[in-house]
Order: sequence, then structure tokens, then C-alpha cells
Amino acid sequence: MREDLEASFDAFAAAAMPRLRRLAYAWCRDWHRGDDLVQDTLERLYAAWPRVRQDGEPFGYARTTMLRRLLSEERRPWRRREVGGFVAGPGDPAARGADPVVGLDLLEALAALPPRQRAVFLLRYVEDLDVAEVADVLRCSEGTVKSQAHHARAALRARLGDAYDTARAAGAGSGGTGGRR
Amino acid sequence: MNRSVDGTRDRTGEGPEPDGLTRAVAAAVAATPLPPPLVNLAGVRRRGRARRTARRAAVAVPVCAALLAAGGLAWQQPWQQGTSTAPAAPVPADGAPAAPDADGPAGSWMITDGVVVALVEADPAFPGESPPRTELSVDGTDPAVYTVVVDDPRQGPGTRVVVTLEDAPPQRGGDSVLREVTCGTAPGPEVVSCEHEVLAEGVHVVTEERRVAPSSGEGQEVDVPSARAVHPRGRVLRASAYLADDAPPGSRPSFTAAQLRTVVLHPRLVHVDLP
Repeated sequence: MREDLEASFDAFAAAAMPRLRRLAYAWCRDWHRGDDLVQDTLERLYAAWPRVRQDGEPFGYARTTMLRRLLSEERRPWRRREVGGFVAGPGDPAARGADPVVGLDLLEALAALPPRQRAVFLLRYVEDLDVAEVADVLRCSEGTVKSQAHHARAALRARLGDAYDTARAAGAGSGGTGGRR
Repeated sequence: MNRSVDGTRDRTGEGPEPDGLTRAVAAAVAATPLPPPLVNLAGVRRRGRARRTARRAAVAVPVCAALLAAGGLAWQQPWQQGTSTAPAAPVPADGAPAAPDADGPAGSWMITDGVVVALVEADPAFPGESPPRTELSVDGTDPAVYTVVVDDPRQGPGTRVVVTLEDAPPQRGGDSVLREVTCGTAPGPEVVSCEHEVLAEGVHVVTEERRVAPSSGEGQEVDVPSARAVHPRGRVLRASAYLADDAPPGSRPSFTAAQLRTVVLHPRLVHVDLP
């Protein structure tokens, strides 16, 4: 690869890596596996970098690649067993998704969603894509995206809703700190 | 106005608007503290290059294989057709050797033409009026054997000259090929005379005559000459006079063993490329 392409890839990787790592971690709650996924995604991106760079949407390409691979892997039984058997070691970073206001582990609730709903939630509410874009990434209809988003939110509410409402009602201060803008 | 699946109104068709809990979860994802990355960019580049190479190969190899297969098929087809139909080589009025068919394949031409030239140079009286027939035999393991059959009815019908060209495969090289050209080892009718010589260039040549009884059982036995040569690069050339089963009594070959020896040493046949 030419030097300017190498340099542009390095710059992109450095800029995109934190966002990709957060998405990967939110998906699997495992930094080691998450970083493996990011590395694999970047390898695929590097292989296609001249074309991807020309298309002008490299992060979208990387995000789509990673999420499709995650969804594909979730269908494999060996992956489910492996994830189910993962126990964080003493060297693993403690990155809990606890909301400092309500004191709930929101990421744990997110990770408990079914894969499709998790993917829709991440793309729709974390990555702030519109319904058509999410449908394009996941190769499904817009109606499916809407219904998956609804089910994801319903599942989160069923798991966290009462505690979340109670904590906020207790005067914990202003609620969400971002999300959809 | 659209209505979302959870019953909330959705003016934009973008599905339900996020509530406080949804925003809180999204914010938790966005605010996740990052430990030092385990991603190795040098490894990304190295494996990315390998992946790109593999992807290109995955595309290029089948395409090349398909092209080669198609090319090979197109190349071999005219040869195989030659086994069932005699080539329509025009016969010159002046009795010169038959020229190859102008519409035939270039490789077939070169071999057929080379054989006719070698026969004419070996025996200038050879008319070469009959169109030569070229055959290709492939059995899947050995390399192809190209056989050119030329009628030579000067001393009776049913008399032919058969010239074969072959590049010996490596596993047949060396001693095994040389044994084949050693006197007295090849099966067949009674050997009347046989001479094995090694030329200065390392060419092994065998010239021999075998006594053949006529197929019809009538008439006298005939001495049929042949010559074989193994050239240092592995090219094996054989030239034999041949009496067909339907040859009437009295037919006998016109070529001598010495003339056939000239044929198997002819430079055009030694150096022509076999497709």
C-alpha cells in the first residue's frame, strides 16, 4: 500500500478505535474479545482500504463489518458456550456501565438483550442512525428495525424500569446524560 | 402520521423516541472508560495485507484456471477431431508432399508438416500424395503421444509409415526409456536385425527389422523396418513401416531402416514443440 494510504489508515484507526472498542465492549462485555473483534475489523478494513477510503465512509464500513460479524458469530453455538464460560480475571479492567446517578449496571442490561435487539439498540440510540440506515446495516426492513427497537426498550424497561424510576424519583438529579441528540 | 409498534405517535416515521432509560443506557455505552487497547496496528497491517492477497488470489486463481482449461480445451479439440476424420490436406498436382490443411490448428501443422518433410528428405522418391493423418493419444497419466500416419502405396496398398512423437515424462526418463530403445527388449515379431548406437550428442538410436507374417496368412513374410531415437531432452521419436491388415499379399514397405533412422533424427521433429 502506498505511503499516503498507510498514513491515512493509521490516522483513521487511531481515531475510530475508541468508538469501535466501546461498541464491541457493549456487545460482549469482555475487553479481550472486544479488542480481538476490533482488530479483526481493522484487518478487514485495511484489506479494502483503498476502496473504502474512496467511498468516504470508512467508519460506517468498519461499524457495519463489525456488527455483521458479531451477529454472525452469535449464531454459532461454540461462541455462546465460550462467552457463557468467560470469567473476568484479576487483570481485566473493571469497566462497569454503572450509572453514577441511579447506581444501576446499564451495560449488563444491554448485554442481556438478544443479539438483534442489541444491534438495533446500539445503532439506533448509541450511534444515532436513523431507521433506514439501521435497516441497511442489518440488511432487514425498516419495520423490523422499529419492532426490534421497541422490544429492546421494552426489555430494558422490564429489567431496569422500576429501579430506574425509583432511583430518579428519589431525587437523584437530572437523568440521562446524552444518548440520542 | 405513523404509529409506532409500541403505540407512541411517530411523526417522522423514525420509530419511538428514546425515553430517559434509553438515553441513560446509550450514555453509559458512550461513557464507558477505556482501558489501554490490545489492538496491534502492525499486526493489523500485516494480516490485512495477507487477507488482501488471499482475497485477490481467491478471485484470480479460479479465473486463471478457467481460462487455462478453456484454452487447453480449444487447443486439444482439433487434435482429437483428427483421430476420427482425415484432414483435408490438398494434394499438390506436381506430386510434392501434401501440405497441411490451411484451416487446421497451427500445432498440428507443425508436426504433420515436419513428418512429411522428414520423410521426403529421407526418401526423395516418397510422393507424399496421401494426406497424413494426425492422432493424439492421451491416457491421463503419460504425456500425449502424437502419431502421424502416412500412406505409402508405392509397393502395394495397405503400406504405411507411422511416426510418433512423445516427450518422455520424468518418471520414465533415464534407464526405463533407454531400455525401450535397446535391441531385443521390445516385444513383437521376430527381430531380423537390430542396431543400437549412441551418437556424440547423447542420442540413442535403434534401427531394426522384424519379420512379419501377412495377416491374411497368404504370401511371403515381409521384413518391416523401424527406427527409434531417444534424444537427450527426453524427446522420443519412433518411425515404423507398417502393413495394414487389409494389405494384399505382395505389399511391402518402401522405406528402409536407414531412411527411417534419418526421420527420427530429423531436426524439425526433434525441436518441434508438442502442445
